[in-house]
Amino acid sequence: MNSLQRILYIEDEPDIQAVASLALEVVGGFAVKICSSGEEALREAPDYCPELILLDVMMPGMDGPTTLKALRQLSALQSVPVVFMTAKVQPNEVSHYLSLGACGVIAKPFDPMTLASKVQDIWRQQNPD
Amino acid sequence: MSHHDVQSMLVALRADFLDAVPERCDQLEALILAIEKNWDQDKFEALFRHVHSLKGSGGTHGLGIITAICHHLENLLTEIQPSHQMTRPSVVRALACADLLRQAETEARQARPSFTTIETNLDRLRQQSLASRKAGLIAESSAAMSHFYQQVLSALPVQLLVADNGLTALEHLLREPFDFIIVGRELRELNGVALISALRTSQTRNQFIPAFLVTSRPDGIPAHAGFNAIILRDQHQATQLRSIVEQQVLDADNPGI
Repeated sequence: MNSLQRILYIEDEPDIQAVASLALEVVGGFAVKICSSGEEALREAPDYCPELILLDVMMPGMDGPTTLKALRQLSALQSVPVVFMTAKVQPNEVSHYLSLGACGVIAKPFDPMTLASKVQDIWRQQNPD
Repeated sequence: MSHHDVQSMLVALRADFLDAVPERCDQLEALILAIEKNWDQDKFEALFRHVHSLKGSGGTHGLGIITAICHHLENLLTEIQPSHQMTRPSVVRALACADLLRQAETEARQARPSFTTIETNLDRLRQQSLASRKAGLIAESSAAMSHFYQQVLSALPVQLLVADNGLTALEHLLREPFDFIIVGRELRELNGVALISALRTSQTRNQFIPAFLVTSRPDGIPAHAGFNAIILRDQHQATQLRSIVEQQVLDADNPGI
């Protein structure tokens, strides 16, 4: 099984970026690139070649679903797993996000001590032995 | 890096967040007061983003009380947005939320913070929001028209119940308290005029609530039918309906008939 190394995290809120960086880089040991908007992600993602993308749903400008659609138009990112991060995690809401092409949904607010393992679990589901 | 080191870093990030809360509250208050003076959509959206951002950050730092206060404020802003005006009661409630955020920030710095008092005050604010809503009954057989009335009144602090025929509407009026009723003339089972005539002789607590008839045929309605206003179904009906509900229900005590 390939091990997950490079994560692109798209989130507009600086406080959440800081805590997520700590959770993913320090606790999880991943390499993380943060983009503060969908537009920035579209510019930066192809060169970064992420193995997994964490995507905030509610952002000013391009929201998460719009960003996902645009990312899928980029050949290098057509099949990169995307995980939505959102406070809206009612079953019908989760189903909706999965129907848009996300491979998982992580609830916000997240626990910084367990975020990395949740990401790892989703990665394993996508990349079974 | 040990678990303890990570926790220390999280505590430091949380302290940075708390340091910024008073200034963020100042910005919230300035935006609320600016919007009260003059509605400005850009400022309103900035205010909403500001509250949403505080809500997300508070939750991420484990401060559920900040998330709860911001959630209430977001709901308040969502309610007032379509009306494009921030009334004094809304301003008072929004500023009360900013006060609670300041209290939460102060309390969160304590060695053993207790948010009980703040939660109680937040509950009071929630109850005030609910209590200030007026209950309205829409008696209308057309689903499209019912939906239209609900859309038109969505910006106002009202709770609406829909009955799609006259008899069902009358049953509701005999059982539950309402502050006003909007009636379509061509109601199934019991038409609008008959419904309000029955209500006015019912000797119930709803007997004298304001009743507004919406019709395309205003002719032939007896003067004693008991309507407080007759709204013509034309291009002005949305404006007229909202204005009448504002004046006769929200801005005045029940004027009766």
